[in-house]
Amino acid sequence: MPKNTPSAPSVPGAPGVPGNPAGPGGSAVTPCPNCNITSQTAVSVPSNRARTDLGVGESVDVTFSLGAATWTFSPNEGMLSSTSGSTVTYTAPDRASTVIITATGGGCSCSITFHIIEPSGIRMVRQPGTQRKHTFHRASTGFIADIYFLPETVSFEHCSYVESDVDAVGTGCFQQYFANNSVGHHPNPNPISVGPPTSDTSGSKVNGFDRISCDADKCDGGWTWSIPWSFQVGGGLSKEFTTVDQVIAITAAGRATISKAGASASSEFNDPTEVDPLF
Amino acid sequence: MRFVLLPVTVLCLGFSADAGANQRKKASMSIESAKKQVAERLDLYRKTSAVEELRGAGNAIEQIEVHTVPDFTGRQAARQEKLALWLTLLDTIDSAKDPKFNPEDVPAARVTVPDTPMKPGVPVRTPEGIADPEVRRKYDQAVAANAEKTNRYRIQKELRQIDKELTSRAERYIASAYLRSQRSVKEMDEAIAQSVHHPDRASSLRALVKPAE
Repeated sequence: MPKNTPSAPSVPGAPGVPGNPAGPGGSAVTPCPNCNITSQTAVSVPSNRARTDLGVGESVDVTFSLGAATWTFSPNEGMLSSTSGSTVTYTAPDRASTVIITATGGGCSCSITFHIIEPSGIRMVRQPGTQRKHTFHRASTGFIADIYFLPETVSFEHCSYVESDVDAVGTGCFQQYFANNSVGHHPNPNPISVGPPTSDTSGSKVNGFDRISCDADKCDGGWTWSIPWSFQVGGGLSKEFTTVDQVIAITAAGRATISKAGASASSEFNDPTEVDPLF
Repeated sequence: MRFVLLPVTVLCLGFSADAGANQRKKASMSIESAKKQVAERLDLYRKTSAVEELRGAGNAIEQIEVHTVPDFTGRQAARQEKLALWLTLLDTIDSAKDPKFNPEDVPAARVTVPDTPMKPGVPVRTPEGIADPEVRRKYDQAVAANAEKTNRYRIQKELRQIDKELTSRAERYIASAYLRSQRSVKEMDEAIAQSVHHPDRASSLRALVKPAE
């Protein structure tokens, strides 16, 4: 269905209604050329506030061009602030969907279609201006990360997320230790809220930061946590949407490297101690 | 023209007396139902801090259709009731907002294990490996404090989001139901005196109906 579809209401015998002859030649005539629905998202970033792709839980104002209208939506997912009025607010559901909102008034009816999108992934970037975490003569490194929810085309500011705790899997000199011991990464147990995107290409920025660090005896090996991430909207049910690897590599010379979701840091054994205050 | 219309109007009024009474009853039920729903939602919100309850209260208020009330006095009363409910809802939000909330003071995804000796045989720095029980206790306290901060932050942030949304919806209603006039200011002042405890909110509400200078 096109984004914005005007038509006359389905009145028996009315021209242009499926099953009803539209007159000579049978071609459907659009009787309501000025009938349309405009929309404006509550958030101002992404900058295209007329977009019809919405993040789960996002709100959008929809306005009927002909004034007072009766509003319906299908399927019954999400919420309309009211079923009447010239402008109403639609709040998207907490799961992916395609929802058609229809306004009827002034003898006309038209629809607008919204595509509701769930988070598909995350990206991390080292927080600008922050230092690493390293202790002189330790195989250690770390960084402070900003976290962004993808895709960047919508806002996930009504979401929050949790990381599940999982055991690390070791390699090389650490393989045996992690095989014999359950070593989690100790995530925050409470949902961390997500804010709006900071630009059209950023993704939705988490209202929080990650402290990503490692510190180990030097030897050739490493370990990985494969961490499931789940989102939720408000107090709704959570849903796993991606798995993020937090990977640590250590060398016999004491070089430590850590990476997560596209961001990384590395320190040499002999690097001077540095610790960002956010650690 | 008036001469012709008058008897028709009288006839219509007489003919529609029962319908008018029914509409009045329906409108009154709609207001009572909305008031009950709003009270229940606000009660649930106070117990759970779930902002969905606030949005639900806003939706219940919007179900009140002032324009369908058949007579002027009834419409006037419905308009005031609807305004009072919006103001009660906005005041609930204002009261729940922590004025000291700093949106820049964000929580962390985890707490760093302190630089402290590990137990023998532990080759990596982990909370389980912390040798000193007192250091471990402090670490656990820091984890609990960060979790609490995370909850507090999320609640305050969600309150501000719903405030923005519901304020916009309430203002939309006020703009559609009230002219900018001294009479509207008087009605607004009465409603503010009943429900609004926050001066900034009171000022912004008054500004919506104040006559243009």
